[in-house]
Amino acid sequence: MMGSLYQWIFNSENLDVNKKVLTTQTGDFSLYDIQKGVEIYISLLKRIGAIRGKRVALIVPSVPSFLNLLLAVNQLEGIIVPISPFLRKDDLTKILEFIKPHIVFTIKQYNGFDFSKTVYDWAHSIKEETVIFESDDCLNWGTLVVEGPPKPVENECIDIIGCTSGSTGIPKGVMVDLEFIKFTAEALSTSMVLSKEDRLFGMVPVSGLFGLCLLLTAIKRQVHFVVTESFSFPDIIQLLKEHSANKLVTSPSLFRALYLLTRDDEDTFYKPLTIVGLGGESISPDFIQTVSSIKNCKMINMYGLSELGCIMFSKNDIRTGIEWALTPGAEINVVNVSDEGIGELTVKTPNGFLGYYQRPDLTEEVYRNGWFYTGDLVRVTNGAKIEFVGRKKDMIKKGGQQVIPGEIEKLLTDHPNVEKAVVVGVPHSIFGEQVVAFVVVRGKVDTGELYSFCQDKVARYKVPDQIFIVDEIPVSQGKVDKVTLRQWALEKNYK
Amino acid sequence: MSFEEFRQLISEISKIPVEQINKNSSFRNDLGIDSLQMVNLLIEVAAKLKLELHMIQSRLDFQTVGGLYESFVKERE
Repeated sequence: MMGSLYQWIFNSENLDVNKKVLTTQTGDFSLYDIQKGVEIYISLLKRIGAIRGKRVALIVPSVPSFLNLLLAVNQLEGIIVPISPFLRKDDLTKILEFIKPHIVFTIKQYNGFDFSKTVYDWAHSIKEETVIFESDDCLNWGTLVVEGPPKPVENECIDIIGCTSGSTGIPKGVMVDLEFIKFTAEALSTSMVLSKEDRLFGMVPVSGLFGLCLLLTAIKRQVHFVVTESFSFPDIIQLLKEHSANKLVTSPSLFRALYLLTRDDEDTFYKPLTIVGLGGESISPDFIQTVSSIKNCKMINMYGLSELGCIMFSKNDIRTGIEWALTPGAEINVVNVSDEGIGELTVKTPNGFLGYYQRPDLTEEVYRNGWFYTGDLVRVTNGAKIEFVGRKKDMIKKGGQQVIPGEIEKLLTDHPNVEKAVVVGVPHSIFGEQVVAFVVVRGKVDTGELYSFCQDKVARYKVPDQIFIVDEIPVSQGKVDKVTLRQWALEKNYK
Repeated sequence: MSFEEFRQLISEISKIPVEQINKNSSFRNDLGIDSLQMVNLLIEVAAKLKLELHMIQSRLDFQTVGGLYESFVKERE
């Protein structure tokens, strides 16, 4: 059934509507404040007619407004498409072209980038009806309608489409429903042992499916969720200082960076912590070493996928070695096991995603008979212990965000002087992995120009951290030899 | 370290052309530097200046290039 997120959250027993459940740089919000906010957006949306089955894109960096809008759109049976406010012209336009939203809520400008202009340019280019709501503060919205024939509505029961950049330059949309969110909520509550008395600090973008599920789970459980809207460290540090938390969820690289900046004030930041949940990247020995002195707090690793939610978490503190436990209802298997005992991890849950938006072919490729082929290569030891050894797909995990090499390779080869480009991920102490590009060029061009070329087109974290010009790309058995390229990158780097 | 040297260092680390980096450039809005890049940059600058980052973090101005330069120079004195 569509449109029931609101009921799921608010039809709880012992609902204390005055309890403060959300704090961000914007302010504090109780369940009552959220209910009122949702009502306002419902009446705003009703003014433009029925939105059932319509795709509603949200480029809304203010978390309370984002939450209110999300619940309002869902209540009216529209389909929510959260879009990261860290995207730039090229990657944003590609997502808009792919999703073709009927309605867009966008902040006008954010971090020096003009979102309104990019949204207008796209809406005018497709010459179909689009309703654009824009705002300076995510509170007061102006409406603008780009005229044209209406787009058809969705007939499938989709609640949310989470977007990621695809490997071929075409984005991927992960379609999920309320059952998926309920499953992830259960998994997060179990792994983080959430209760009403908790104050949970989140350094996770809520425009991603993981962050969005964490936000909804926290509100549903009436936890006090303190979540940063800004990813600038002084802002994060200030927020955590004002609202010291007993639980924290983020990626290993963001946690490490936070710790490097604040470790002289152990009492304020780390003493209150009982559980730190880390996800989005693997845990490196370097990470374990950095955080070894944090006492009396359990650090766990969470393993999940946009498509299936949170699947496993480490039972014990990761500093004593990782032993995985399955979240309630999840099943795993290892297939195509090699002689060395390494195979691909497959997972099954009672409520996985509904498929990739408009790509049944892609869905079929990785999701068969309820089993999802993760692309993660694992070794099974001592019966049930699982050790991650690599990835079949060569996705880069930088700071908890995913960077798809194919997207950046395509961007680089759009430059007139670039003949060939190959992008690899290389371990880095701050980023987790850094993005390294090798290019073969024709004519005269220096790397400085290539960096500038990428700068304004895609989200900053996707811009290569290093670009090397090479005479040719090494090939092994007819395929690009990424192993050699990673080796070159390590040799060429000073760290 | 002179401002010119500081500017060069920022350019080297962030791969932003040195002529785009001025005293009043905002790291986030003008140079588009994101959070982890900023931490990476701070760590590198602190290492060059032989300062312990976590000791001085609360006194650093992260907003503009000139502001960060001034706050680092002050720490060194």
